[in-house]
Amino acid sequence: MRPLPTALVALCSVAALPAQQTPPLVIEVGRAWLEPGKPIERPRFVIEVGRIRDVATWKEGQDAAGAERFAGAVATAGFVDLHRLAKDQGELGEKAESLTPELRLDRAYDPFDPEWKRSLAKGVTSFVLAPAHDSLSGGQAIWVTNGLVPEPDQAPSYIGFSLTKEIQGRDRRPTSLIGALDYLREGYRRLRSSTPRRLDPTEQALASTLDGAVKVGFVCAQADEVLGAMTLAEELRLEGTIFLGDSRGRFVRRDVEELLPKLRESGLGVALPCLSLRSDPEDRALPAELDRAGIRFAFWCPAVERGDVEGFQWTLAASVRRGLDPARALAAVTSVPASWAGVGDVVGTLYKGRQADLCVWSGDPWDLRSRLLLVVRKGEVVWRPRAEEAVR
Amino acid sequence: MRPVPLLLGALLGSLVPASSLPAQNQGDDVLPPDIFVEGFGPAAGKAAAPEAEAPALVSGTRDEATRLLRDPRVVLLKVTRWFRPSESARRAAVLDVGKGWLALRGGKVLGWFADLDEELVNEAGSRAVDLTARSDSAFLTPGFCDADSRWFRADADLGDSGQNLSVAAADRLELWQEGWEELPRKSGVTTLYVPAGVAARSAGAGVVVSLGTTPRVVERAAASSYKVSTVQTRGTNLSRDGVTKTLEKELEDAKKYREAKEKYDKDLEEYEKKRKEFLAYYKQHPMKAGEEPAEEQKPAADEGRQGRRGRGMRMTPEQVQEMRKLPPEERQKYIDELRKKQQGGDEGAKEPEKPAEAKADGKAPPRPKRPKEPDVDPQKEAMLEVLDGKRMLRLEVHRAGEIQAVLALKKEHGLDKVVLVGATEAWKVAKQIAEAGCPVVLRPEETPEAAGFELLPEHLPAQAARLAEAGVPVCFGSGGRREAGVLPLLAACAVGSGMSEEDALEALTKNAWLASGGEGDVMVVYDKDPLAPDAKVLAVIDNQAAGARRPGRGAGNGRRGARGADAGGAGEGGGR
Repeated sequence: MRPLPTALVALCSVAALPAQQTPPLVIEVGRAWLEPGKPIERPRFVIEVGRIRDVATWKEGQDAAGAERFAGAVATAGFVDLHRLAKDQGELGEKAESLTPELRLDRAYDPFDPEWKRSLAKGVTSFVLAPAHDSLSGGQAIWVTNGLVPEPDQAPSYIGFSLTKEIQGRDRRPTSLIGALDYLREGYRRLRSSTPRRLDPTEQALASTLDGAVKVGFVCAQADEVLGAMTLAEELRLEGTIFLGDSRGRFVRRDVEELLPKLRESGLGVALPCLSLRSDPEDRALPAELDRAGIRFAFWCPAVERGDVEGFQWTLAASVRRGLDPARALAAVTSVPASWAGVGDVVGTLYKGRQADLCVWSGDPWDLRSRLLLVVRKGEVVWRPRAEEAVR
Repeated sequence: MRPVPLLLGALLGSLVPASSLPAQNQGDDVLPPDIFVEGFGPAAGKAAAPEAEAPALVSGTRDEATRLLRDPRVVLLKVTRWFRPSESARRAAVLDVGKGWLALRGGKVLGWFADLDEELVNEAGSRAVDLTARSDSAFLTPGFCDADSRWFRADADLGDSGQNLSVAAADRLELWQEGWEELPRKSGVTTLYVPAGVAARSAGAGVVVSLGTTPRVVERAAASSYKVSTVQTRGTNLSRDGVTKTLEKELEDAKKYREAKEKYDKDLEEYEKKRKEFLAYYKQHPMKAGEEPAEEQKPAADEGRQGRRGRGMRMTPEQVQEMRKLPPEERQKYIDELRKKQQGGDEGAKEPEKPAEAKADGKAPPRPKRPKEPDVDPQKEAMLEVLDGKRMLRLEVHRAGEIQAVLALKKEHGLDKVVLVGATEAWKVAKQIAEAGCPVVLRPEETPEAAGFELLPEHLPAQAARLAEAGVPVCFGSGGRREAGVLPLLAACAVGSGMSEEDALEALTKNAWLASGGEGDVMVVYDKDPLAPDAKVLAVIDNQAAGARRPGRGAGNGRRGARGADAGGAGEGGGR
């Protein structure tokens, strides 16, 4: 018996076969929002190698091979969270130094944290990993696809500057809001030094915001902080966003409302924390108010706990109920945050060539009666309702 | 475009004075209770629609409509759909009523008229309102109920931890609080259950407040509340005894209290009887001067006490004076002798002499002694009402084990009206709750992670769906004031978790009334399905006899009296 040559021949013949190609993922739905305000009826999405290869329409009776059809369902782009704080803040904040804009958040990112899976189940397919609110500048916020290891050296979405009371302490600077603003000014002032020299990493990071290459994200929880952020942005000609809310998403709405005209003039975008079950009616009306005032806004979501009702869908429904246009609401969790994160040509819409991040809902996502039926992340089906959770 | 608020109040309240309508038939008594509509009410002389099938609409006649309209509070309303909550054997249903007119009074639909002629509609004048002209999917529903509100209470009162079951909310209401108007107009919430307290372990009767043109109390003695546990209560060392010990003791104490009261009643009856005999005897045998009637013998316990009291040494003032005259060294000797003498005297003492000349012929009845009435204990009285099924008891309880313990207690003590509040893990024992027939009030609770609750994804609405599926009458409470605005959203979310729309609307209306111990009497018309994301309130209909009721002024349930007016409502998205 000479089994070895036979096995070798068999092995060689297998190796000689052409590589097995993964068949494209084909998803057909009743309607899709290619981008907020642009619906398409009966679209068929052909997804290959993590991207949307083609968007066509399907007809009754014409079944594409391997297509998964959700006839009455609605597809939207996967939600993009512009400001996601990791639950374990300790890993994403520098305790000794308060001004560390050079730190990259993706270096302390754990893609296997169960919190990301909970976000996926709520339709969040990508987010910007944001620095903790307890440092004046906790570092560079990096956009990541939910649960995947990020690309190395990806450009930061923004550098976070927290002006909330959470940064103030006795052990390190700053100890007050005025101190925080002065500390930032001091950092930028050093850049203007006439002596040619090599910039240290902190200065390099700050310098990148001056030419608009990198945006800034001011985190504010009350009116004086917003005012300080606007003043600083105007002085230094910084572009970016004001994130309202401390690390639990709380902010003083009444004061901020009075600043709306100034906010519009500043040109800064506003990111609102997700609405909660305990939000005031005025909180729920604020998105519509910002929209009426002509201020661009997006939503961000504090950490999602198991059992929480709150999330982007709840926020969309609550703000639509208070008069916000549904398309604007959808934009605030898809195209707008994607654009602000610098990945508007990658995610946030469902056009051909975009990363295949999409959600299939049983109805419009701003209708709480609709449920998520499917989540596709980078071309891969990553979430379906379990049998016991599936309804209707 | 924002919808223009519809001010039915002006139409119904001012333009149609009661005097302009026929004088007869202005009271409830002259109208047939439930008239003609099969599938709507128990129609007299007509067969009820089979439960399994969709209820058939049977139109009332013109005569019946005319008769109804003699009551000035009756309104004719044209809408496209109507949510009819369940009633006895009838399930809740959303009915298409667009082809006819609904007759309404006091939050109740009295009937449906398919072909009312224009003449009659014109005759009704401003009391006939066609809302299909404003929205082709106008939807009528009873106003929603917040089954756990904090409106009209001072925070200090609610936080009073010294309350008990005898403290009633009606005595502490602040109906003058402002800001409630947005609830009916923007969220369709028109009924609130307001508890007597939230900080104490137990609190007395809550109230049910209806929000129409003004807030008014529709039920002063609604459910009482009792806190078995909170979400913060640790789940370790959970035993049935530990969970319900305090409640059980209070129930037992209430039972003992009742026994004492019953014994007193019996004794009092006996006393009255004896007293009559006593008086009758002395009427026939009048007493002579100086004569006294015989006393009833004192109970043995009293004798014992008296005996103990008599054990000490007693000195008369004369003996004391005598002792003082003696030199100090001899005083003790004097006392000892006196004690010896006294003790010897007591031992051989004769029965104390009876009052001279007492009737001793053996026939004279002794003077009866009136039994002592037990002190009135309002807390035990309140608990007795619960035991007797006269008062509903809302038990806050969270863990599955605690819920089971409470259900067992309910069975043991035969408690009829028990409502579970909070019930974070109710979904795990849904079947048992359904069998016990307990309504459940779900609230947005912040469950601490350390407490280790077993939660479903999107727990609150998902749990509501599971409970409804098991047949538990489930409803929502906000646990706040303005937060009640999210209740329709929660119900919509529950629909997303698998609850039927009818069950979700039932949770916002009938089930919430059931868990509160009082019904709302205001109706709301939405421009579309109330659970739709952009539904707006078109009109709030309050054609109940109105008038704000202040606590302590003998406010009844406000069913009669001044005529109500309707409040118009802007949509949720408008009006800012």
